[in-house]
Amino acid sequence: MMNRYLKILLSVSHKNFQDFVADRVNFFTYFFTIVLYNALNIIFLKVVFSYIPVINGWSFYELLFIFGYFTIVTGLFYMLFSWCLWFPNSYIIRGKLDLIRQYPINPLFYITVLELGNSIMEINSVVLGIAVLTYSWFKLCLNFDVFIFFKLIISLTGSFLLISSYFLFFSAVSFKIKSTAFMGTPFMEIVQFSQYPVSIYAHWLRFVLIYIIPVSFIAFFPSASILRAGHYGVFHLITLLVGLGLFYFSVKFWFYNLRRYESVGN
Amino acid sequence: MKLSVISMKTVSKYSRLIDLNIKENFAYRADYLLNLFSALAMITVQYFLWSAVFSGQSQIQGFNFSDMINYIVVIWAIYSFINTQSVSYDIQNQLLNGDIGYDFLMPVNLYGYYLIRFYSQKFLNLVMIGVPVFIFSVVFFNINLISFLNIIFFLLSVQLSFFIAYNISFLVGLLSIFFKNIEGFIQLEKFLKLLLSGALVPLAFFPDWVEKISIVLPYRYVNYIPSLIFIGKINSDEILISIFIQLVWAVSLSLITSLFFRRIRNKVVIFGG
Repeated sequence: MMNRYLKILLSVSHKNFQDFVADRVNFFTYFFTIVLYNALNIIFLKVVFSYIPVINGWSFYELLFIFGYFTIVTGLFYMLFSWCLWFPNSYIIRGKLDLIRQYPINPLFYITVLELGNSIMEINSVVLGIAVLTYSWFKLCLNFDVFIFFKLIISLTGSFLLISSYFLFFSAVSFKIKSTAFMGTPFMEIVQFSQYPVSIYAHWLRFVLIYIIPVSFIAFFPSASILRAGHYGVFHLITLLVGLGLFYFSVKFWFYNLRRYESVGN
Repeated sequence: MKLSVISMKTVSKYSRLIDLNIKENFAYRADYLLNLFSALAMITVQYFLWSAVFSGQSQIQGFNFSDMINYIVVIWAIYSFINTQSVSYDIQNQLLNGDIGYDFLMPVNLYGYYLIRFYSQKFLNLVMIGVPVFIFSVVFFNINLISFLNIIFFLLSVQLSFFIAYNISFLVGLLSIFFKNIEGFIQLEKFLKLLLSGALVPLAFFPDWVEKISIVLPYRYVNYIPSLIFIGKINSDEILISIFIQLVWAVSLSLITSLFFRRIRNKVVIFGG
């Protein structure tokens, strides 16, 4: 069983890798694009902090740390699950899913592996995020040991599962709606809420961001658990729990809707 | 008599085009609604971020908190109108797929045809996203409409902004004749537009040398100037000078683009043509 999945993974990855090597210009263009976008965010922070020393007690390098963390998480998400964004259009409306359902493979696994070829460039984003994170790590003079490394891995896993679960959920919704529009589009902006300390928002919004749609766990809380271990000590574990829980729910929901899905064709 | 008949025909031809384009774009109602929610989410983040920034500082470079919120709302409302990246992608696709061959067959001025097509698309964008964002902000963020008197200048200025932004995107799209893959150019153009048109932060917040660079580039006149006119940050003399410079940019860029496009017409080679 496991062997077969591994075989599929290897053969599809091999094809993806060949596609990837064939167009090297694209690789550099993507890298360039990602550098530009990250530069915009860093310039924004730099300009704001040239007028004030701290925002609600958070310094420039602390916010840069959160930004780096956010870039890693979104990069991982785009690499593996960005297909959710065009899932309604290319898989449901154009009917690619009908074909995939004929194969004796788990469709979620197959789509993810297949689409990895298109989105493997996002690895640049992850690398750049790690660079920003490391830079601010040195500037903040944080200590580094095995314990903190594991803490970081736990947080990143939790955050990645959390952000993916939102988009998986919305791609599952499109089984029912059958429209080209992806209902999760606003979430691309809503996740940005977690780039900044949760204390800057109004009370009602803070409540929403923590309890109702726990977006703050995508970057702010896990970063804070490393930056200010005294105050936010166990937040990396909470992040992992929230991430695992919502991811489990989303995957269940995805397969539940898939079973009830009738194709758009006849 | 004959002349007026021709001009009437032309007008009805183009008004029909506008009608058609609006209908075509209206098919994506759900997308507009979702993009509207995205814009509102982004404005909300910006609102709270700036309120935290201004809680320790009453003024930054002559902007106080309410100025800043007005500025952000107006700049993103205008951005929905002048966000002309789709022009570059569309021109690239037309050229690389060879669909432009069909367009050449049409009995219209092709430069004017594309202008109308994208203008109606972006105008719909402004009505469906820019205006609701503005209304939302008036209701929830108490933005003040004190400088509403400048509305005539503002409307004029925004039209010119569209022409500048549109022609730059068109030129970038035409580069695909020489380079095929122009993704890098498109992204670079978007980066410059976001940075130097004041969409990121007001240009006055940047160090002096960045502002000096922005004065010689057209991007300042794409978004920053109309926003400043709307929120009443510049006086009437400066408004007139700025609109004049916008006019110069718009006319010269239109001329360059239409001439370049005419030259390229003879260069396009399409398979099966």
